[in-house]
Amino acid sequence: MTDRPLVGLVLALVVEACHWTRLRWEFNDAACVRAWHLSAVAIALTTMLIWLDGNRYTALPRLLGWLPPLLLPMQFVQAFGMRDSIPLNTFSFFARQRRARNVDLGLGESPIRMNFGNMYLVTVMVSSTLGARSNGWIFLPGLLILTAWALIPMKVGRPVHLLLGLLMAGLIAVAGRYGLAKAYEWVMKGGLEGSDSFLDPNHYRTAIGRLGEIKLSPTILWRIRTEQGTMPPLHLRTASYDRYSSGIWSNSERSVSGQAVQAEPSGLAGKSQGLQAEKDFVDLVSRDRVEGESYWLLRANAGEEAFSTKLPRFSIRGAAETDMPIPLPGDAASLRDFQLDGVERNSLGTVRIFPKESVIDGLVLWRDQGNPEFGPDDSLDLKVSERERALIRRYVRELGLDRMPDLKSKLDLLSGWFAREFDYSLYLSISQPGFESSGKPTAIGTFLDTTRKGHCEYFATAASMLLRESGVPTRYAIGYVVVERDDRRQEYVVRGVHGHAWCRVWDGAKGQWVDFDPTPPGWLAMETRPTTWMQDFHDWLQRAREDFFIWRGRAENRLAVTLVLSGFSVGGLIFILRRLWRSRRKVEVVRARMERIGERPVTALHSLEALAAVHLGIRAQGVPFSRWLAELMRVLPEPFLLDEAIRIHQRIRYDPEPAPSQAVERLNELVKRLKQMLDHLGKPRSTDGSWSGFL
Amino acid sequence: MVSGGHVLLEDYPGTGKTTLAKAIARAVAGAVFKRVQFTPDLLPSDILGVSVLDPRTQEFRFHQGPVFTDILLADEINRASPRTQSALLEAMGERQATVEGRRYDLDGMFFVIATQNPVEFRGTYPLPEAQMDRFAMQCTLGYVSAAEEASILADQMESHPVDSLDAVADREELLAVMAAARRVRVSDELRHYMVSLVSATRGRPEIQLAASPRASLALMKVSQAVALFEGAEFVTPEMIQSVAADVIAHRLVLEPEARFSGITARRLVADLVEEIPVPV
Repeated sequence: MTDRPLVGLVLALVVEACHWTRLRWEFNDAACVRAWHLSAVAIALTTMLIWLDGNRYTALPRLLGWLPPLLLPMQFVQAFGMRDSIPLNTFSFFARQRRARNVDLGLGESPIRMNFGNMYLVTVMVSSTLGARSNGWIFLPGLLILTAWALIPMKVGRPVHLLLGLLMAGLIAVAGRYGLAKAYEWVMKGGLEGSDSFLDPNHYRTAIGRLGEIKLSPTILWRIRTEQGTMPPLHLRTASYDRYSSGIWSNSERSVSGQAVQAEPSGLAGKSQGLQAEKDFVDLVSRDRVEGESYWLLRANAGEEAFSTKLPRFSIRGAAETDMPIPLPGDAASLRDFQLDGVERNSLGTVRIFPKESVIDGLVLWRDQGNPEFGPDDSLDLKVSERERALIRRYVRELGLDRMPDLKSKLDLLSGWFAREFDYSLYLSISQPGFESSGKPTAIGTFLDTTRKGHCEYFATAASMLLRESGVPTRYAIGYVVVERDDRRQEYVVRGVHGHAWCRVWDGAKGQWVDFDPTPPGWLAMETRPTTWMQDFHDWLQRAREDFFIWRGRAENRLAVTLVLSGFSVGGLIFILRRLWRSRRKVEVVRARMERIGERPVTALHSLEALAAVHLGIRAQGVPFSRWLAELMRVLPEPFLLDEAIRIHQRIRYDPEPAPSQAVERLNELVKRLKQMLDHLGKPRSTDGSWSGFL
Repeated sequence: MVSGGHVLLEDYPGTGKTTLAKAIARAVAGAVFKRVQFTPDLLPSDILGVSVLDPRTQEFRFHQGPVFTDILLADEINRASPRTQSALLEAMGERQATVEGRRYDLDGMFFVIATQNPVEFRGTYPLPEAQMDRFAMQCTLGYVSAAEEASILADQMESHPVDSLDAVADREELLAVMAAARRVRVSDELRHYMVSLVSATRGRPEIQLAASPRASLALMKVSQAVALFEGAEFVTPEMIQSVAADVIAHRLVLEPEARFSGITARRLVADLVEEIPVPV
């Protein structure tokens, strides 16, 4: 909500208006239920829209952020209704049914009632911390002021108690906010499902040296269609890295042309690396082959060959986020038909996109004898990390890798060795020693020397280092393998479980980087689980969602979608609002009326009213005149005169029998004397110095 | 009593309801006084009477029930079932009783003084609204002060003062007073004022069942009686206001919400009295 101050302000005005106006409606229990239905429908619609809009991890905070306006109908019914609570069974259909049945059977049951205001306050508090522009510096003082505002009228004992209460509230708020922020960060970094959901193209923490078991999601991430009879690429690379250290692959500092930059003073190295690596990304340009058919060329200095009609191509489709590296084959040439705002590529060939929609769909052209990445830099792409160097050197000698004549024989030897001597396993049993225990073998050392069991990251990392040591420029690539074919739909699907790591090795003869997968064949069979009907259903749902997105994304459909969606929501809202409106009854302050009949006879005593009001204050309309006037007897020197006057007045006023004329005369006389007496009395002066009546 | 209505005394046990009723009965010489102790197993025929076959004449003879009297003390009326309570409806409303198709008139003064415990007490059946409406007034006695309670103890050391109470009037005198009360004058304006008070209960959201025209009628009659005792020949607004709560409040049925929020019928009537402009 904090990113929409206007909505928040209107909301606050509506909620608070109940304190400034006496306008109230008689909302019955049915109205509470209708308000809840309105809220529930609004929540469901919002949830659907947020879900359709993409990222499911941000869906919950976004929904929570929108809860105050969504729950407004409930708060409205309570705030502007006659009662300061709503029945708890409003929220449960079954509870309401049970109550209706009990009432039918004559069993008295009074429903439990709850004050919705407290819940609404908590909702507002939570949502205010979750807004896109929530600010800790405003949040904490705001919360403290609100808490103090609530506590002070409650007259909390001494100031110390108030301070203590505020301190507690502040501590809880800070802790809650910090916890929420951390949880959000964790989820956004992929805490829920491995490291794939948020990918940093410059820094990749592998599972090397960690314990546990690798669990990957079976969710379909990408769908690939090829032309009739052609095969899709086996490996789709998401990102490449060139520097390994203690389980982390990262990018070295490179210039835009892909060459190493000069080392900077060590103190700044860590910080500047990130900045430098970020700068490494360059915007790609799109070029039109013919009118309306534009291509994003992935390779630097690419010419027309990059979008030649002879190149094989495949379509890829899936959910995408801004700034997200997308999986492409190692020799991808260009992109077509994607709805993108821009494309970036770094010198290692990682391609990031800026999609217009949350689902992208387009064509990838590939196999044009080139790579998106630049050629190798020997100072970086042949470097073996310090801690593993001795071990790697030993294995290279033992295997005779350095003596092999060409690249092919080196790769064959290596993959043969891995296939023979090593096992694939998703269970992580090797722990990475810390930096201080430098004598111990590293995780890669343990993998090569002792356990000889691990997952693709071990194989790819070990192979990278062995090849580098034997003189082959090698990089580490992560991405997916395309192996699962959906025959019914004639397409390939890439799921989270197809996530993989392999090597990119420099083929000097061709002048090109090629994929080399050192993991023993058959690893996929170990990972593939039988699909359940749940998974089929989930796939179907996801496909439907993507289909809808792509359909919606088309320019010709946009207007229709907007019209239909807004028509449905506005129609539904109007329907429920109308129902809600009909279930209220305006409560007016009943002003009892007294029907006047005929002329009111006036007696001389009536002329005393103004004079008496000075002493007695204004007479309330329900107080009988005689009783009011009788109060004067306490101050008058001759009270019996007033008593007599009142009796005659009553006789004239209330007796249906006409009063004798002497009575009227006598009353006139009495009133004259009473006036004199009252004038004599002067104005009463009360003890505090202000004028006031006796009453 | 003078207004010709019936009275319901509601209060906690032991506050002197029955004693008051007995005292009133004793104060009128020559009036037939009967008392019915209402219990859960009391039947309508126990109140109205029953026809019994006379073996000698082989005819049914009607044995009059306690309702055929001048003063009827219906003690703890809400302990009997609503069915039995309703047996009094006709007698109280129309001064007649219909038993087995025959109508018996209750001539002269027929005055019911009923006592009841507050409805929330154990073993009570709340009086039906129609029955409540038949009572002209409902009064409460309340707990007495400590000094008064001490004097009650002193008075009852040897015998109950009620037992030695002398009659202050006889039956005929009382009937004459009742006739005199009916002659007390009420102006057109004040009649409208009374109707305004009663009909104001009909538009309130807090009230489920409002007061009926019978309430206006009772308000007028009771005001007349008050005027008579004050020695006035006509009714004034003060007299109406002084009995409004006693006459109107017990006829109202409040909405549960209003009841739960602490509003009482007497409070509501008091509010109405304050709200409605009084003829000056």
